[in-house]
Amino acid sequence: MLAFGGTSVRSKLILASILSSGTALLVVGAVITSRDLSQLRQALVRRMSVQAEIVGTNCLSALLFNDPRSAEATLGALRADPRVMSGVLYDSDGTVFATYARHPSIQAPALDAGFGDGGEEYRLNGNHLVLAKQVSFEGRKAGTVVVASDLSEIDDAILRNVFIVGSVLVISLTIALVIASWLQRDISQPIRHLAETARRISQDKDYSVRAVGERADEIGSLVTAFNEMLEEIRHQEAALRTAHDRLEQRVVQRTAQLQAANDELEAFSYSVSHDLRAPLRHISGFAEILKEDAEGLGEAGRRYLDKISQSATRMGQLIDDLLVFCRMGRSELQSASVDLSKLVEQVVEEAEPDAKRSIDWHVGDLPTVRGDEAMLRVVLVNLVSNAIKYTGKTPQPRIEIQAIEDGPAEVIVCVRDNGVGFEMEYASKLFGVFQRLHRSDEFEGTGIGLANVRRIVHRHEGRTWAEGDPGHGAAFYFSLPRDREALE
Amino acid sequence: MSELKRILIAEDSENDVELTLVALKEHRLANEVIIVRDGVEALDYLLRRDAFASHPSGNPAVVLLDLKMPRMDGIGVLRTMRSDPRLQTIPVVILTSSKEERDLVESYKLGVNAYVVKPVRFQQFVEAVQTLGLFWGVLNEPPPGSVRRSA
Amino acid sequence: MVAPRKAASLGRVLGLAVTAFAASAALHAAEDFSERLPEYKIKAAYLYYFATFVAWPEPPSSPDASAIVIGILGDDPFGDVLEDTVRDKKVGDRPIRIRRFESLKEARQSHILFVPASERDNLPGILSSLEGTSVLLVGESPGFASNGGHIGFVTEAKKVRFEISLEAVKRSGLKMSAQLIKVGKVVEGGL
Repeated sequence: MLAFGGTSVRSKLILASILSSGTALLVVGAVITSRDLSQLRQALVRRMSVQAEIVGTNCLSALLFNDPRSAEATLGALRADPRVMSGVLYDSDGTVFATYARHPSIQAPALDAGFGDGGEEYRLNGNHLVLAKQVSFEGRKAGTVVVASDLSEIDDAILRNVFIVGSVLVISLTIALVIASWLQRDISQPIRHLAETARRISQDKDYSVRAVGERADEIGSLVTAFNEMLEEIRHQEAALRTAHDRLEQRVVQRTAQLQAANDELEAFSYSVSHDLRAPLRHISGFAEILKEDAEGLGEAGRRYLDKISQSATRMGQLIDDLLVFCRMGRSELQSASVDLSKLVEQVVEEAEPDAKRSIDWHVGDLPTVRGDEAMLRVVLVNLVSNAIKYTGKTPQPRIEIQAIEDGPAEVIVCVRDNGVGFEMEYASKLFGVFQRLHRSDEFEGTGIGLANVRRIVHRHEGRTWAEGDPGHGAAFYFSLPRDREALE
Repeated sequence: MSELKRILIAEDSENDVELTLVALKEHRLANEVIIVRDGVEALDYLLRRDAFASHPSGNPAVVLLDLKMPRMDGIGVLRTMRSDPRLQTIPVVILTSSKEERDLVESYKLGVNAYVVKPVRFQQFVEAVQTLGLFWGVLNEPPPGSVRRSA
Repeated sequence: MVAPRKAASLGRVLGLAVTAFAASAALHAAEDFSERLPEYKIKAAYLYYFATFVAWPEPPSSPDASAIVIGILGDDPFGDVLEDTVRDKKVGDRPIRIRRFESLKEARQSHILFVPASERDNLPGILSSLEGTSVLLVGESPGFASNGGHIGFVTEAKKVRFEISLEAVKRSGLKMSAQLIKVGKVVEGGL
């Protein structure tokens, strides 16, 4: 069946046709032949029976009068039938009485006991059919006639039948082959054409090609459906392409816009960094000089000048922070594996001198994460300096930096202090740009630190949040993706 | 060695000039200071052309160069200087408000000797200028060809 | 010709002599019987067969309604053999009776009449007398069939054969089976 599945449709159709007609013919031939055979055999038996009957009847007197010669003469009549090989007359004791043999070499068989008693009996003996018929006289057995006929007739008949059936088979199959070859085209050709078309389309990706051969039957509807599908595909493809092109266009546009915006921002921050600082410097400078040189300024005057200087300074800070914030957003994330423990160590080391007092540090084991080391440094610097700043008024400041492992994919780090804390009510403002929850005279700062932290952590696909308890301290959390390489 | 050497300052902002001079004056470093207002003037002076043709010869011990100047900016001056064999060796300190990486890279590529960002706070500004003045104008040994102030 | 009856009146001596003769003859005959018994057994059988191979007219031909009569004219050489042979046998559905006749007239009642060799001398008379009747004449004298009889037994080399005169059979009007004719030897014959 496998082999059959691999051949072409054309072959299949022809093969199916031939096989079915061939089988039918064979079956018919076999049936007819077997019927013929049985009929022949029956005819043979009948004939032999008749012969035996005639011979037997005509030999009765010979038997009775013990005249073997007469019986032989009668038996000799069997010569007329070329199929009879031998005829033997046995007397009532089963002894051979008279014989006839077509060829002298043919032996007359001894009579099997009881063979033929009670009328007629036949059996196959090699390739002979042997029939025995009882010769009766006045209801009693006078003798037995046994006629043997060869079956060559039947054999010939078989051969003849086989030959005829065979020839008929060959001829019919040839005709069937011709017809099938001719007719199958109607089916196989459109299928082949369809298959070829499909292959071509699939290869060239040309959906404008159509299959021919729309007609009323199932193949026709297949072709029609096929073409309709192609039409549909083409439409969709065209639509897709249009959409794709449009999208690409849009992307190009947006990219250009983005690029333009970026460039603008670049230019802006560049000019800002230069142009904005200069006037501030001048304000600060001349205010100082004025303070030095001006006479009769008075206490108040000097205080005012101080304020002018400080304001200028503060403005400078704000500008710097803003620029940093901008840069953080724009610059590329250099992704690498970052050893947080080491980073925290460095940050704490650098920050500690500025603290100007001793802090109780608790730094836990921190894992390796994936991210931009410079940016993560900014995050930690911000959080640590905040912690230091806001414990400025705390007598025994304690700062904890711990990792709370959470899940195989990310790490949560917590920076906790026991400083001044904040009210949870305003927690949502914490990470906003320039948002502060404390007055600048209480704690200095521009309010950009946490905004930077959030921006950076978000760029690392992490999250930021905080908890605070006024007077008792605050805890700042951020999550980072774990370093997958280190895991593997 | 501790003689005061000539300092060339290229700065377009009047205010900045004034503040710088005040700072220098405080430490008596302002005696030999030449002020030019943009890149072209700076080159004119260094090459002794046009308006400065009749100037006495001798290179300044250091050029304090602002970046943002009209006509020709600091980078342009620096490039020209470093490609001119006569001016190649003159120490250049860029003194600017810009902290842009771009400017830093470009400047050092061109072989600037120092890059100082002008602090906004006056106090720090003064300190910076004075440090520069003391180092470059007094301590550092300029390349041959610089003018020494004679008494 | 009818066989002469031996007169008992010739005296006892003659009677004794005759009896002795008869006894010896009988003995002889018995001896002959024992010798000839197989022969007569066969002939008896043949007679029976003859009866079966002939198509007999319907019963009215003989006063004895249905039985086929086999008659023996004169001296019976068969003894019991014939009776034994035909006992319980039939020809078709007709039983067989054996009768012994002394006179020709009565002998006409037979279907088959066996003429023993002892009647040799009377043959011509017997034959001409019964000519044309539907009595099958079977004899054992030589030339029986050639001289007007229907079937004559012939013994050759210990085998019993018979001769048939077709003319005689045809004249008698009897229908004889070809099978019988086949087995017998056809001779020309007749009166």
